[in-house]
Order: sequence, then structure tokens, then C-alpha cells
Amino acid sequence: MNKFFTKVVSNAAVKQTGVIVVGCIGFGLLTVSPAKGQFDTAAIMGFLTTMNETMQSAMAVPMQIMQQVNSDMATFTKTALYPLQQIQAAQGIATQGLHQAESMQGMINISTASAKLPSPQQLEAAMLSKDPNQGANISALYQQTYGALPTAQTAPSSVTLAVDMGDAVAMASMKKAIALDALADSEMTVSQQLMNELQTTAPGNVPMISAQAEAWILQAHAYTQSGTAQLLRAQSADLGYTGASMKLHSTLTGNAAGGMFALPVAGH
Amino acid sequence: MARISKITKRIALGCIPLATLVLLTPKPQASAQFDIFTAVLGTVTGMGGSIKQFNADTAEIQNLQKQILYPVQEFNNIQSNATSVVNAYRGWMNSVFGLNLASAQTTSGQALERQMLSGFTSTNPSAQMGSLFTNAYGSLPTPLQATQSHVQAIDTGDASAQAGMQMSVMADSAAASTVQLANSLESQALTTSPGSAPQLEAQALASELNSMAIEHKLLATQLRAEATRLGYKGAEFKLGATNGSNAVQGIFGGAK
Repeated sequence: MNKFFTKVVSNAAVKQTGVIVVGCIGFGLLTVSPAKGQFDTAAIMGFLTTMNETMQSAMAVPMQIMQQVNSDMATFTKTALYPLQQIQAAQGIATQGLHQAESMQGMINISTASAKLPSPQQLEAAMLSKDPNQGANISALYQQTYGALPTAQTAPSSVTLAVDMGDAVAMASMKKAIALDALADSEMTVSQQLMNELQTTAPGNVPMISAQAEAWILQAHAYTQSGTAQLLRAQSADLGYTGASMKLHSTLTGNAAGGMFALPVAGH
Repeated sequence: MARISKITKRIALGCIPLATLVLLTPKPQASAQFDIFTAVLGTVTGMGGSIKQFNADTAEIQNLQKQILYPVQEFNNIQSNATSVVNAYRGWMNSVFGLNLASAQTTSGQALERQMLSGFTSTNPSAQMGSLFTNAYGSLPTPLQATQSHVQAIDTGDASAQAGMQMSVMADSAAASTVQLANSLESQALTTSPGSAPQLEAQALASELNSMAIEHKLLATQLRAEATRLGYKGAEFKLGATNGSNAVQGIFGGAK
């Protein structure tokens, strides 16, 4: 085997072929590199030119139009929808409203007490207290001022019932008045708080304050209805008194009409 | 035969460099580069398509805003109509609101009426109300003229009446202030923008809440007045029962 290998290697043709092979490999490695394909300048320039034209037509022109549209929208939004001057003017109105509301609250809470005698003064103080806890004292103060219910010996039961109902509705009305005063104070406080916020709130967030105000207004309507209901009860009790007087008169005299002319104020 | 074999060997050996050259040819790499160029161009073209679509959408939104949601011509019409409303009603309504209601004929009656209709300025009218009320409606009965219960009922009734009168003065003033604020809001609405209109609306709502609070104060005063009226009537029944041992007499005059 070794002999054969030595004979082949020593052959001149084989030697020549080996030299050619090594030379070809070297030539191939040195000259046929991938770099020749990447830096084909003509191809690259052609590509860049095509790409530039494509970007001009496909991207630059539409982007210029888009920029114009956006600029137009920005101008419209700034000058027509949300001009800063109008935003600040509306905030200024909130300041005016706040000052007026504060002034009104100071005025409306001025004391209107004017009773002169001790018992009426105590009842009046409780009625004007704006303190719902004072409701518990109303019954005693009312009785102290207007007297207790007639006894069975001094009045027929129909009279006692009418007086009891009249007194009950009167006291309930006084308690409701205290409650309404207290609620009104809270409403004024919240109203001023909202106006205070509106002095600086951005237009986009303003609907949140509107929603809160709407909720309070709805609640306030409910309090109005409740107060009006109590007023109706009081006026109904007043009518009940008038009816009771006529009924008593007819019982005593057999003529209710006579009672009508004797009713307005007893003793006159 | 040996010579043929030798030639064959030489040909075989000569093919080796040719095979090497074929293997080292850079054709595949060059082809890959041109594929990437095509892909980049495709991407750029695709981006251009997206921008065009985005542009079309933006233009559509702009058109929606300017033509459908906030047409400028409509702003002007609304503001013009609002100005017409102000011109047609504000002056007339203010004059109706400020109508003189005074009707009393006697001196004391006129003095009290003037106080009640004066409006609230910087002076608390309560101090003068007491004397004016007494001048018009008289003083409390003395202990010789009426029972203590009777006097107390009158005192409470008078106090409630005076409170009602004072509250009416304050309510007039509050109403005037509210009208003034409402006019300011309306005037501002004449020139405001759609974006700022909700600010004015919110202010109007907050002021409405304040106005309702004042209505509640008035309702409370009204309830106290009604309660005292019932107290008066109840007192009459009770006094009649006490004085004559028969409440019925109280109803028809026994409660003196």
C-alpha cells in the first residue's frame, strides 16, 4: 500500500495536478468572495433610486397632506371649539357666582328671632336652630308655649282629637323646618364647593362637576317635595280645624252655617 | 490501453479545479441581496398605503367635526338667536320683575310695607322690623288683658310673622342676585364656544343648587308660619276648655 502511495505521489502528473488544485482553491478564496455581490454599486444605486421614488410618492406626499389636515384640525380645535379666552371667561363667571353665593349665605342666615317672652323665645330658638337634634325638644317647648291637651273633663273627645291632630302636625312642621334649614346649609356649602372647583376645572372635566351638581339638584327636588308634603299636611290640619268647628257648632245649635260666621277667630 | 488509462486519469485530475470553482461561485449570495431590496421596497410601499388610509380616516374625522358635529355656521346662528332672545326678553322681564307692588294706604302700613319690599342691601332690616310690625299690628296684651298662654301664643305668632317678613326681604334680594348671575351666564353664552358652554352649564347647575337651598329656607319659614297658625287654633280650643271647662266655648268666643 505504501509502495503504491509513494509511486502515485512521485508521479509528475499528479504533482502538476496538485499544484493546479491548490492554486485554484487559493484563487477562488481570494477573488470570489461574497463582498463582490454586496457592493455591486450599480445595483445599490438603482435600488436606492427606486426606493427614494417610492418613498416620495407613497409616503412623503400623503404625510404632507396628513400634516396639513392635522394642522387644520388643531387650529379649528383651538380657535373654534376651545379658545383659551372663552375658557378663562367661563372660569371668571364661576368666581362671580361663588362670591354671590357666599354673600347670599351670609344674608340668608341672619337671625330673624324676635319673640319676647321666655317660652316663645325657647320655642323660636329651637325652630331656628338648624340643629336636627333640637327636634326632640320641640314637643315640650310647644306644650310650654301653647298649653297641654284638654282633659276628658274639660272637652269632648272630638275636640281633644282635633287639637291633638293640629298640635301633632304643627310640631311635625316645626321639626321639618329645622331639617330643611340644616339641609339647605349643606346644599349651599356643596354649591360653593362646586363653584370653587369650576374656577380652575378644565372644560373636558367640567361634565363631571355637572353630573355631581345634577345629582344634588335631584336630591334637592326630593327635599322640596318632602317639605311641600309637610306643608300640605299643615294646611289640611288647618282645614280639619275649621271643619271640626262647624261640626261642633251644628251639634250644639243644629245649624252649621252659624258656625261658619263664628269661626274665623274665637273671641272676636 | 495503458495510455488510455493515463489520459483518463489526467482528465479526472483536471476536473477537480473546475469543480472547486463551481462550488465557490458567489451567485447564491448575490441573489439573496436582491430579494432583500425587493422586500424593503415592498415594506415602504405598504407603509405608504397605511399612511394613505390613515390620512383618509383623519380627513373623515375632520369632516365629521366641521360639518356634522360643530358646523361653524351653526355656531353663528345659535349665538345670533340667543342675542335675539336677550334683546326681546331681558329688558321686559327685568321691568316686570321690578314692578312696584306697594299698596298700603295708612302711614304705619306703608312703613311696614316699604320695609318688606325694600330688598336687602348692606343693612340688616331685622332691627327695624320689630317696631314697624308693632306699629302696624299692635303690642302684646298685658297680663291684665289676657292669660299667659294667650300672650305666649300671640308672641310666637308675631315672631313667626316677622320672621316670614324678614325672610321675604332676604328672598327678594337673593332672587335679584340670582337673576343678575343668570343674566351674566346668558351674556357669556352669547359669545362662548361649544367647548366652553359646558363650563357655563355647570356654573348654572351649581347656582341652581344654591337657589334651591334658598327655596328650602323659605319653605322652612313657611312651615314655621303654618305651624304657628295651627298653634293659634289649638291654643284657642285649649283656652276655651280651661276658662269655661268646655272647649266648645273657646271655639265660639270663650277664650277671651
